[in-house]
Amino acid sequence: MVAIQSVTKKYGNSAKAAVENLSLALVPGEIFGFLGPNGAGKSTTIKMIVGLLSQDTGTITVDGLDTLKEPVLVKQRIGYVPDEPLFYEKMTANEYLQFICEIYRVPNEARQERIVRWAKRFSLHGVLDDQISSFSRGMKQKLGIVTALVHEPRLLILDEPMVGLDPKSAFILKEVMHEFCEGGRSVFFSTHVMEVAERLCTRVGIIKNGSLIACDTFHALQGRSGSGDLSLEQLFLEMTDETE
Amino acid sequence: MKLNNIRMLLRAAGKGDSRWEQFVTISFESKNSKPRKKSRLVIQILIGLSILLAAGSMAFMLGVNYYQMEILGSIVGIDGFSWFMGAVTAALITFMFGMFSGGSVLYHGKDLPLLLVLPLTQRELLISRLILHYKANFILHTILFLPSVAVTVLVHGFSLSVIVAALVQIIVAPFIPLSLSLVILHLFVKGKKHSGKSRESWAIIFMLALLVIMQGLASRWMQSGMDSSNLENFAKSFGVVLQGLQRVLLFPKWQMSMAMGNHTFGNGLYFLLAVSAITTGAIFLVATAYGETVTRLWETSTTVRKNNGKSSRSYTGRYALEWALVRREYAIINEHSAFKMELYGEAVIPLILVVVYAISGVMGEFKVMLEPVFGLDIFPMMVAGALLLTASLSMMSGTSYSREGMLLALSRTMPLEGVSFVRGKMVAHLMLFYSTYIIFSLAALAIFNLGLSHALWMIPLGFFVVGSSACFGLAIDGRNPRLDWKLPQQAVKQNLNGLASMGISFGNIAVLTGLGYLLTERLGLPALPSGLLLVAPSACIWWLSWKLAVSGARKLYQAQ
Repeated sequence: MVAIQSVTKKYGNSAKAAVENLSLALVPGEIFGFLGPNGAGKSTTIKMIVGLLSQDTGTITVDGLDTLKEPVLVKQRIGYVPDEPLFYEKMTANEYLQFICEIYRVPNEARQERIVRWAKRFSLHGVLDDQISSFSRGMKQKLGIVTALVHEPRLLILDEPMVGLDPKSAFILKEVMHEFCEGGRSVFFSTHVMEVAERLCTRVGIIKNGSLIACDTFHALQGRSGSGDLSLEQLFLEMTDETE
Repeated sequence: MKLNNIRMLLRAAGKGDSRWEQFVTISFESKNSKPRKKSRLVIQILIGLSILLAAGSMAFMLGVNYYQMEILGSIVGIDGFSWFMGAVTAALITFMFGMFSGGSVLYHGKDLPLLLVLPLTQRELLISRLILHYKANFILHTILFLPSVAVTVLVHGFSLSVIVAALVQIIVAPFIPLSLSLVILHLFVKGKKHSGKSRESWAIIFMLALLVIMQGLASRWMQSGMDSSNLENFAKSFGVVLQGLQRVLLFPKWQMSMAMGNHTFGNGLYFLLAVSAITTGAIFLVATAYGETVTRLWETSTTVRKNNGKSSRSYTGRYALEWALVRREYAIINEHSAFKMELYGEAVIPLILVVVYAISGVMGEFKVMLEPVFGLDIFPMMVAGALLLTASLSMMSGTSYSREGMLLALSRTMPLEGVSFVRGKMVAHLMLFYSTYIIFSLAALAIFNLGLSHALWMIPLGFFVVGSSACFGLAIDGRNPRLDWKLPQQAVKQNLNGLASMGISFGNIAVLTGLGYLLTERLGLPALPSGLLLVAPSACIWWLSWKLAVSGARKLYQAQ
């Protein structure tokens, strides 16, 4: 689904790479959790996959399509929820979702049904005709998620998706992520909430200082550490040297 | 009140806002590319020279006008009348621009929600915003006024009173129009009905109406007082009019007297005391509920409901994508009253001028002035040229990417080629400026009785010229959009990209005007075939501008 091969990215003239020689692959049907301390390179990696940033070396493919050579086709396959939701705030939620459907060429007959279905799922159907500027942070986050889902992408990429969500919405999002992968589609998400990653992810990747230091299932990581009862949080802290 | 806090607020607001940084930005210096040093230097020098030339010619034109006023004043025994007119012109235009920028600075700055939660007093916040308001308009006021100083020195020579009066005028005089703008904005914005931004729009509409009425009344009063039966009567009646003006407009009168050494100290004192009183009054008025007003505006801006439960219309049809992008363009414009007033206002400039002239009662004089050229073959071209100039007097596309601000990141995640965005933006531009151009052209053909056959070339020519204007603007703004603005004004009015795109559009019209002149005056062709022939080069220029806009968009939307 996603193949990242030997990718390096530096910002401007900085000597230090934000992402260095990163390689990982996402298989269809898996939920991949991307973990790392602040500034480790998670968002940079995500922005390279969604086509906002270009890598200096290496290749990234989505469904076999190179993100730099076929950016439009790649974007068509991706549903992206950024860490900071951005909208045209003077539009109503419905206008915005209709706009997104048009951009992603969602068939006319399916649009309203999908918008209403996803809005209902995330309890936004009552505010579809409200201006986005009137939404709270959490509502905007939910609208961002609905926006990413409404065009039925093959790959869902979420950057810190749980931020701002109430417990019920966070629960629904986890359910949605599971359902999304059932049809052979994949989810790639970054989070700082280790419990969520531990329960939800098929595999997790841990990045530190731009390099991938671990990439496996939670149980395999436990086994590798030699202690079978460590939580993902403890493993993470151990690997990233962030314990006291 | 801590002065250090105010200093910090001003430094934070000014970060990344220097004119020099904008100049470097417009010189196509990209953070990611490494252009050759020499070519960059050449571009910077050329742009610098063209900006200087533009500013210099504006100052020169103002100076010529002020000089004429000085001469007229001296005929009727009033010395230093250029100073008087310079002060009036600078105050009026600063008042107008102050109204545009005041709302953004004081009530709608993007940094205000951040500042409201900081441990700052209302007074610190207000004073920092007032200083920003002053700073934003100080240069404009100075540029408009300085030519009158030059004229005064030229005619009356240097003197201490001129220097003192000039310093007082430059530093203190902007307080008058800016205070007035503050009071009007405050009175409208503090109302409880409607959203803050719509109240601000009403304040600006009120200001424009006020200016039009004042202009109308002034013109009618001047006309009614004039007696042009012979030169002696004309001079006498003109003197009465000028003296009347001085009785009504005390501030510029005091300023003029200061400069002319006529009771410099006394007039200076009157002036300073009156300005202090007005400024203090305005600040007190605004300060009474500044924090409360700002907080309420931010509250109302987040509780607005639209549509009242009616379902939104979906986009369908063959050009649905283009329509979606056009609607998005207008959604961005409608986000800020500063964008709305600037862009929608630009689209109806000819209409505004007609209204102003009609109210002023000078339409008849225009007709008389134009009579000698009515019969000329080139007259339809002159009409088309004037309308194209006003249609190109626009920042719509030259600031289009900049207006998106941080939302450009959202656009870049969309599965669209750069060309789609250019198409959407160009259509949005044409909808506003080409549609009005067509209306004005048809109206002009009918009013001047030129024959509708000229529409055959005016309408396609307009399409290519307005289209080129859009594309050149997109090409310039696409290369280095100004995205990190804090005030909407910075994305439009204070964005050099918009100015540069207007300059290129004017250059385009100048080239076509030259060709038109060649065809009609040198080759002796009638206006109709000449106009039709002009469509071909205009189409070529449009094609070139389109290519530039698309290549700029391709770079902008690709991964960085």
